[in-house]
Amino acid sequence: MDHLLLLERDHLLDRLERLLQAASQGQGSLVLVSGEAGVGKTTMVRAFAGRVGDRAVVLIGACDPLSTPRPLSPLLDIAADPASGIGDLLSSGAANYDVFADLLGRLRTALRPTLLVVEDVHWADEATLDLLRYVGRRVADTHAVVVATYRHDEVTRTHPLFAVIGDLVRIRESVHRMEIPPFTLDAVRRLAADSPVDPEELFELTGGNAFFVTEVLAAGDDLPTSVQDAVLARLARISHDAQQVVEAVSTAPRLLEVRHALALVDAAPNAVDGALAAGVVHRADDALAFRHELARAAVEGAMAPGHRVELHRRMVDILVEERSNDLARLAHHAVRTGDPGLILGYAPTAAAAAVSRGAPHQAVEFYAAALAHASQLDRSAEITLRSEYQRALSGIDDQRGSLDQAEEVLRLAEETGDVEQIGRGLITVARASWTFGDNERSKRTMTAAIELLDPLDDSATLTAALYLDGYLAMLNRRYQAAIASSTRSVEMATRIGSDVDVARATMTLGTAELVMGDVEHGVALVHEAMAMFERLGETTLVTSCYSLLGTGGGEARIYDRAAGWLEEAIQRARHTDSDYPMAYATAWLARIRCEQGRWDEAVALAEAVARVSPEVAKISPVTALGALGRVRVRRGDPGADEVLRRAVDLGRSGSLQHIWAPLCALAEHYWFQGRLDEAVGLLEGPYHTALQTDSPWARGELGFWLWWVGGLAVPPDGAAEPFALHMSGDWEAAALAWRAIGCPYEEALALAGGDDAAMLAALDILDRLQARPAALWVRSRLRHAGVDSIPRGPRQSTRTHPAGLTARQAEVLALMREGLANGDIAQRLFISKKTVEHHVSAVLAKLGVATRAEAITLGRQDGGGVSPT
Amino acid sequence: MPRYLVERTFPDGLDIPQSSKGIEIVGGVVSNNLDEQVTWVHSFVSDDKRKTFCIYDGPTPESIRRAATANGLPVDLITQVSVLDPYFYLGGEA
Repeated sequence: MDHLLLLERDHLLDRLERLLQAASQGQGSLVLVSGEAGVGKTTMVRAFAGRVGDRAVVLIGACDPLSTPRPLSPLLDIAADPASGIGDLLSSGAANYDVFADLLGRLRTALRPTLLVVEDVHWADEATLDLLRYVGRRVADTHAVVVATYRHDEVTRTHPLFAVIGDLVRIRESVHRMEIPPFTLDAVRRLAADSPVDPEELFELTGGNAFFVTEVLAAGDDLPTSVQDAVLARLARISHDAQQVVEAVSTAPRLLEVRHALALVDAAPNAVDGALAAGVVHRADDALAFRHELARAAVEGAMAPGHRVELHRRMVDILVEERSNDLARLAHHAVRTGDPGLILGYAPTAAAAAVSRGAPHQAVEFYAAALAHASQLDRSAEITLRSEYQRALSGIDDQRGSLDQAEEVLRLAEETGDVEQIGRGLITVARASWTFGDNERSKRTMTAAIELLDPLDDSATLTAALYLDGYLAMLNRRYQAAIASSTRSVEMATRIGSDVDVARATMTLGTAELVMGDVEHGVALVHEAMAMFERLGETTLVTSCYSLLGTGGGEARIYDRAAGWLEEAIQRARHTDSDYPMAYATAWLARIRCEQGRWDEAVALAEAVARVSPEVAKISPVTALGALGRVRVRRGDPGADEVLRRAVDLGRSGSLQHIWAPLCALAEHYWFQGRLDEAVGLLEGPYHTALQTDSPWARGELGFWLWWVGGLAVPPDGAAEPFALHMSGDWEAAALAWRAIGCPYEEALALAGGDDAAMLAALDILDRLQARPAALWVRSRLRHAGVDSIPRGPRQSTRTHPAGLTARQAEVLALMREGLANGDIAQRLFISKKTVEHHVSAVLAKLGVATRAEAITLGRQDGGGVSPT
Repeated sequence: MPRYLVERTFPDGLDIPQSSKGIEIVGGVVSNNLDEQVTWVHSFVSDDKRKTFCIYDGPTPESIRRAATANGLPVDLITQVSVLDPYFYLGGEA
């Protein structure tokens, strides 16, 4: 009947065939195969793998149907196949991304194409989702077809896979979806041709689900009412020993070795043959596995609970006796025994292993299973375990849960009466309340921690408390507090000899100087910290340094250097697919380009942030939407209000630094519309918050816009210079200061307050920026001033290229001349590689040349002139 | 997808001849628009051919601007619009 199960699948198999042929030409693809449970995803994919034969290397891995799957389970399957070539690297304990990169390299360079199948990714752990995203984003230029199957009915909006799919399907050229529908009545008729069962009734009952249809047909004459009945009816026909074997297999996460099955139930070897004969389980090498997860669940569910617990307990014994190092498997069985001793013995280690393998969701589940038996632990063991649980919860962005656990840690610490323990508890609560968004509580708690620990000698705990206090003060833009605590932390870390703590506090010190004090001193200090991290091999913290330099430098408006640091941070983060730092640095680059009047670039960068998966922390979308919204306001484009309100809403619980720019942009928007009261109402609260900080740019920009819309008579002290100059009425000095910094729009606003010539200069700048609303405002000022010769409108900036290239084509040619490959050009311009190829061929055609090299030299000979303005 | 009215000024007048040259120009615009998922629905042109009012469907105002840049077309003002049909109001009595 097996071939019949491929009924109505021909067109899908043909599509896979075409993709494999493209892959053999170097055009790889990812196929997301979806369908309901039991619809026949595995059957179809395996059938295709069989057809491929030796035309391709076939690698198959599956995700575990566990509440807590083994991290990278499918990759472990794949690595076990020598054809994959990644076995050694994976077992050597290399970092996930090095393994991914190695695998990708093999897919790119292999002589034969590869068919790489990852089954059941709705059960995937985080590390496997990372793998999928990593390979999916880069598969286009490999010789591989990567197939990932999943149950679409399980992937709801909150499922971790949802975001990954959403991210990947945007890559239209190389990522395809394929949905497997249930059988039609017609197919069910053909399947049931030799059976006494009435096909229409069968179709009605099963909805055409392939697995259910097969089970019912195998169960015999009577039509069972559920899948479970169908499976159990099949089982009822085999020997008792064989049934026992099948039950044993059902307790295993995915498959059970034959020797383990026999040991578990104490059965004779021929019991395995009996189990296989029923057709519910099948043999995979020296192990047994269910044909389908639905069947496994049916058998497991029908077992007596006492018997099931006993099987899990015996399996733990067997694994322990074998000295198995499969921690997730041990914990799986231990948790299901319900035995506190076993659970506490295995779940915490499995959780720690999951953390280090980059699978925080799995870690959270193991920790929760262990902590359900916390009453069996002594206090200090519980504190340790809860602290680890709290960090894991924070890692999966459950900040409410993280704060609850932090409070529990503190309560336990207070019971011990140990001052250092309590201090650590307070630090935990302070950090958790900060990430939760309760800034006030975090400040209060840090003060309490330091007061408590201060009378004691130097300690790692006090060093950490001072570091965190300084860091939070820096984020809150309180200069003295940030410098004082960070300096003390550096000194103490030096005395206790902890280099990494010295570097960390130095990094904070530098950032505080950069945004609130001596800019150059700050830059030097962060570089010093960066060099220390390099020596210590702390590469993630090196990236953090670039990010802090770039964002802090952006805030201090040293744009060119800040952009360079941000680009470095983006490159480093892209290398490891670290979406969070990549998105944040990209968002800040958008903010900088917006302030520089480079609006096309700002928009492209802000859009790139939106393309990164939505789970990244809020500060990135807040910053990116702020830049996009401000560009819309200043161009007079529709949709500004909506975007800026979203930015402000998202950033409300965070610190002021992220929302002051969108707030000011929204106030400017209201001003253009004459809604002055609303603008004042919007800015008053944030302005008073800014006055409690030492940030010259927050005081300056919020103060300036509040003053501009008529809500402030006396300018604030400590405002950044160009804003202060403008508010003091010195438009000329303000314009010069803005010109030196490189903010043309602000320069124009300052010039608009000057004489006729200055107003005409302002109009020239605004027309060049295509800043229509501000330009209209300046035109009306000029008319009121009685100026006659006001330029009519913006000069058209679109210019025809000598060879008739469009602006975009000219841009592509310029990048070709920089020596960039199509993929790099695509990345630079935020368009697809295929679109770049399109542009390149158009450029070649218009220049009348046949090759890229000719186009490049030709461009040089005629002196260029191709930069779009 | 939102609909936009895009106003453009052509100081020297717009010239799209009804010839193969015109087909080439319009075809180029339509093909460039595809990159940005932008659709040019139709335009109204002033009698002196210096001003056009173009109806576009597109995902964002930025996509409209990028398509304009790629086509070498000016943009004065983009307004998001929706249809008001007078006969919808009069419909009951028609």
